[in-house]
Amino acid sequence: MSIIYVLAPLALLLGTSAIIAFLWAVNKGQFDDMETPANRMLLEDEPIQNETNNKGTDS
Amino acid sequence: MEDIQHTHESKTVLQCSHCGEKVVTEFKNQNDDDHVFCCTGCRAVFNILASKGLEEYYDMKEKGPIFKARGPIKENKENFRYMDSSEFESEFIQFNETTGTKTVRFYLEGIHCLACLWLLEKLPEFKKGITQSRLEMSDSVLAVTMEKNVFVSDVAREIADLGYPPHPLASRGDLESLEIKENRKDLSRIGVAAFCSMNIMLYAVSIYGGAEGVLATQFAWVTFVLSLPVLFYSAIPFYKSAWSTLKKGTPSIDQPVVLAIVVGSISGIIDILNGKVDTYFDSLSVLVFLLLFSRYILKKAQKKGLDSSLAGSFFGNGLAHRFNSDTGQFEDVYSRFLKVGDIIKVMPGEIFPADGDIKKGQTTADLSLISGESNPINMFPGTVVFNGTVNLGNPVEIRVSHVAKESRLGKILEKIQLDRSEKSPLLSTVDKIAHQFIVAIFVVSAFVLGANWYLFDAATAITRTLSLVIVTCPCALALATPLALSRSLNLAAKAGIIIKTFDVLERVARSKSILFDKTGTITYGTLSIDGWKDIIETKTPSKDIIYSLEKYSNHPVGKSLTQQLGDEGALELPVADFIEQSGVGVSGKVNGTLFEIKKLEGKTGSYPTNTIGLYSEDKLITIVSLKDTPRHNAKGYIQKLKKLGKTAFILSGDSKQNVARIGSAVGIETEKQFSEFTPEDKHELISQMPDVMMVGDGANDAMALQKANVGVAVSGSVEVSLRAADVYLTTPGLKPLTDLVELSDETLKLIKRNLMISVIYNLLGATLAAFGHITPLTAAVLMPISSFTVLFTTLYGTKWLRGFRKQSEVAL
Repeated sequence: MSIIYVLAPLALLLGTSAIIAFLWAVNKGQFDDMETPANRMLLEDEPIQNETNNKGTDS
Repeated sequence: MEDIQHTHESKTVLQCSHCGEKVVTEFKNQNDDDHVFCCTGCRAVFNILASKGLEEYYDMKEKGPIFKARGPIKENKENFRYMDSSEFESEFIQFNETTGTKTVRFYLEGIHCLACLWLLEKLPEFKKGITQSRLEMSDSVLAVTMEKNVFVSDVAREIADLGYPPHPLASRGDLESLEIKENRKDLSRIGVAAFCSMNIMLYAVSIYGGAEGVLATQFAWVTFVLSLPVLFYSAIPFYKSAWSTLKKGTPSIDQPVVLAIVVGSISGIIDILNGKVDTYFDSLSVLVFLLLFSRYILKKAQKKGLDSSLAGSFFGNGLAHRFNSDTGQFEDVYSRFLKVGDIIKVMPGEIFPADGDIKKGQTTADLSLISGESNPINMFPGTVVFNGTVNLGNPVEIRVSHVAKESRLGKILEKIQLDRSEKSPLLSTVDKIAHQFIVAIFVVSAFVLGANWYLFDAATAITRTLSLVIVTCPCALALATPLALSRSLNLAAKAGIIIKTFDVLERVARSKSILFDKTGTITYGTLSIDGWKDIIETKTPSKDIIYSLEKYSNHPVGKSLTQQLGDEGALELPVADFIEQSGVGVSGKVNGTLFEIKKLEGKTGSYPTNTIGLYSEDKLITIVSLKDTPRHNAKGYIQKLKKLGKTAFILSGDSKQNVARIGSAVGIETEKQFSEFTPEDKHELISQMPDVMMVGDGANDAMALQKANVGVAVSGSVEVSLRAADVYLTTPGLKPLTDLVELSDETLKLIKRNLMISVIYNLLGATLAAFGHITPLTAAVLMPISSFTVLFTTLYGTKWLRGFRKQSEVAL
């Protein structure tokens, strides 16, 4: 049972580091805008010139 | 303009290739039958996108999620020159010396879907000199960084050409950064509470599961230590709000919650010190977490509605043409930079950017914003003009006498804001119940304490009483109410009803009568053709002649006529020598013949009001009579509102005859019609009526909207009434209004149902506690069960709410 004296503090330590990371992220502004980044990642990074060459005037 | 083709026979419903709106009059590009547009604005944007190779926008639009509905686009005519002035630079532009760039932030109208994001963030690729472009979708704010030598006006024009009218935002104000800070604090509190409560549960479960001896004591101490951040950091908002309401003597749901938290913690500490291992820390910290979380969701839902009020802050920040005595010419400036004594020129169709008196020129103006009078007023040199009113006739020069806050409009806005802050917040049903809750808890506790002391001993009595206080904490209610409200706010937003604060729902449900403004609310607000009589046959159809001539008119009658005739398929003919005489009419040559449109002269016969005639060489050719008609199914919706228990009234500045005509058409009884009311009269009447809802359009209702228990601004109303109103309906017609009333009723029903469940649970808990059956373990089981029951019933909603959700999903 004495393993619990290692595991319990370890679990708490891991949890604490997670919450510290979360607080850091909050203060860095990672959660200020919840909408745009979620959508931005769906967009292609390709420059638009390629699109025109490939497709021409699309109908 | 040759490439426009009008076709009107189409029966199938066409959707605009750009904005997706229903197409009434088709606009097309030459040699392209695949794309139809609802207006020239949408067509212009489509062509710009095509010319830049940005058609992918449409693919994106089809695939991506839609956030907000958007309507047709106004064609951009502004040149934004004023953005290049040094005054503008100092206030709106941030320079970065190290990179040699500058950044401007714009609020954009019409941001609605993924494709908007794609398009706007591609700006650097098709506009030279822009280095970065970032859009914040939730706030519709675009930050553009460009090289120093790029003209801001060029960038603004580019954005406007894409169909997003830009409004510059002053560099991040204190208010905004405060909001960000608050959001971060909320999130941190929730995060800490989540982490601690989850970990506490781990240890609490071990204790309940039978941990014994030293281990149990140690676990108990861990739960205590972990609960400290929750009690002393995460729960601070509850202490603050409970304290502030207590000081004011108003009840709030936070008071019993804080009572439970404080009592639970103190008894927990005493228990741990006495070597007892099971405590209430687990239940309490989970409670704090859930409450924080549900309130955060409510805050977010409310903010969604408030975003639209941001747009209101641009009011009057338009363009002005100011005389520069050095160059001897008029130059464009931002109207907020105008000073008293400046000479400005106001073109027809423009809004007067400040109060002043006319120096040169004569014109007509639409003063409806200030006076509520919708007929144009003649203006001569020396006449005083007001900020916010519209110049209809000719260019005039004005000497500025009052600007911004000093102007008449500024003062009205200020008064509205002042009245707003004085409006007492509604004491919600839940808060009222909280008060009775507290009283009941104290009475029952005292009884339980006394009875147990008498029957058993002091220790038993205290333990039982403490458990009673904790277990009767109305957490289920405190949790479910914000969730129910935020869900309803979201549903409303989806249906095009923007609600400023959540207590509006309850106010709507409680209001007994609804006062309707007539023009623009019950009616369409535009004059439609009522009768048409050709006296003399002409070669060119009279319809086309009137359409072509009125097209150039700035008069509201002319605009209504053009709109309607255009919809009916009138053709535009070339017009020569067009003259608009204020207060008289318009004239011009069509196909070489001089025509005149003016008020009907002489005997008007069976056409009572608003009748005009088309004349050629003083001969009457056509008589057209116009009237304002009730909106589609207005009668049905008013009937429905009556069924929902509201009494409908008409409150109008119009003549008795007109009010009676509309009133009887929509089924509002004569004794409930108030005609010839000035804005002050309306204000007076409303202050005498309790629990009244005012539905209005236009600034002449602003005071009434503000004064009413609930002010509802209907679609098409100006920014001023939006500031005064609590609710803004983005879709026209009376249907959103009945939706709002039903939604409010159902939400209140839901909250009351939760209240019932909560009370039943608390009665059960109190009984168990009184007989000593409540231990921390039973509390840890009972409290979540009650919370989840209430959560479940909230999410499940009522039958009507489920139907409404489906309906709004289909609409999207």
